[in-house]
Amino acid sequence: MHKYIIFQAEPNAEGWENRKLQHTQTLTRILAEHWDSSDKPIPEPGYRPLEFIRVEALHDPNQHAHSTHYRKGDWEVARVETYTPDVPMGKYDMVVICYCKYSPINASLKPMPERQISIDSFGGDEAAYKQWLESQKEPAEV
Amino acid sequence: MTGWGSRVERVALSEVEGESKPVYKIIVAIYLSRHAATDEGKCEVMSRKYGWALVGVEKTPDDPVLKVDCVFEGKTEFPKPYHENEKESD
Repeated sequence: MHKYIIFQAEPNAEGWENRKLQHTQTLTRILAEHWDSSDKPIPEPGYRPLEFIRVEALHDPNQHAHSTHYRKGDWEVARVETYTPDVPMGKYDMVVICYCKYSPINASLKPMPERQISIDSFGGDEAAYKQWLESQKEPAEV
Repeated sequence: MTGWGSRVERVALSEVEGESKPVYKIIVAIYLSRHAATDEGKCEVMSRKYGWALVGVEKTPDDPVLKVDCVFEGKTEFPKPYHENEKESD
């Protein structure tokens, strides 16, 4: 089952003045999005979506995209609404909206995991993958 | 692929109707994994192909080829080709 899950703050919730879509600068209540094709159940009240943190002093552009760490987030799911299509022919089998309340916790930071690279990173393009692998080889000393 | 690692800890003994019964606590750990991709669309493709939960997509700062990191819940690994599994069992 393919689920699109939106974690959303309630109106006027903590930080509303600074929660913006970067490309338009309009305000948003969206805290996080998940695209879940696993067989796990949908989030329930009490679930905390993860937060991604950038510790500037530890950021290495060779290792990290934006975030250096992650932690259990300060937002907690308070209620869940699910929407399923009448006809199951679209992209998602279910859209889930998780309304969250701000409930900060003292969660420890965990380092982002190692980056994995495979042929799927190239959408199955074996030639592109091999070309990339070649580019990563150290030139032989002559 | 397991999305959550967990272990069970016995934390106490509890008296129930005159009998000591153990009380257990389930400790749940959160795992994430990160897979590079040439563009953001490939993240959802991986998610659908392997049945993973995609929880974030981040733009890499400098890489001209691998432009994004796809972040998945759980210890996700790509399935090994059949012949590699065969070699391991030799």
